[in-house]
Amino acid sequence: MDWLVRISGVVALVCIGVMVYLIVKMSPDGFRKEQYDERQTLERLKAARAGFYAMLIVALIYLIVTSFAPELGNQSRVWMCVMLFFGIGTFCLYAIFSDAFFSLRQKPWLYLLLIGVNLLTQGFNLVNYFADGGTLRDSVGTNYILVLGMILLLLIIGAALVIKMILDRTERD
Amino acid sequence: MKNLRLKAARASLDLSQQALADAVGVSRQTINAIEKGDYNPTIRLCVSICKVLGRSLDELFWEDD
Repeated sequence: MDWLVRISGVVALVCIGVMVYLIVKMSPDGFRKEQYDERQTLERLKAARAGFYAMLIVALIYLIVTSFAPELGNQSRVWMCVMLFFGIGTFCLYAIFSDAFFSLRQKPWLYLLLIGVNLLTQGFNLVNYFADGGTLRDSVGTNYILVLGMILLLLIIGAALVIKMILDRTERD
Repeated sequence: MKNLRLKAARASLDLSQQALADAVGVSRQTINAIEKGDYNPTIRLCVSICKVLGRSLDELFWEDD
């Protein structure tokens, strides 16, 4: 019976996916590719390189730390999350401050709104988890380690966007 | 080096950076970076800007010694 429930769940998900695809495909704009201008494309490439190097630096720190304190090496999932979020964070910050984060059609305030909604829902989940006595250790609450990382990342991106928007107001001609 | 000729040509047509950016299909920040001399545009973008502003490449982008 259990497998029947699982299979029907998978079939339902596939059906929903196909429906969403068809709706988007039939909309006037369809799946429009995000459009960045030539300078933004170059800056995003530099940002991606910076993000990659940031991840390498965290990996190096991991190697150094675990060679001195092997017990910290047990938290491999936490380290992986740190590495991932550090790389993504570096990419985002570089792109934001070189004006290459948003494509030509994107609206910064809408993005900030989405970040706010995400922070509220994820934060609520995390607070509930801690209130119920949850802890963040490897293999325990791994999902919440990701949530915590995402909250920190969104906070940093949100703050950077606000700072950039304030700086831009003084720059306009 | 700052591109003051581009800025002057744009201002003479009473165009904002955003208006010029929309006309040539780039972001406002890219026009700002070109005017400040922080970004060297490709020849394609230079030609687009020249067409919108009704100037030649020499007038807007040729650097005198």
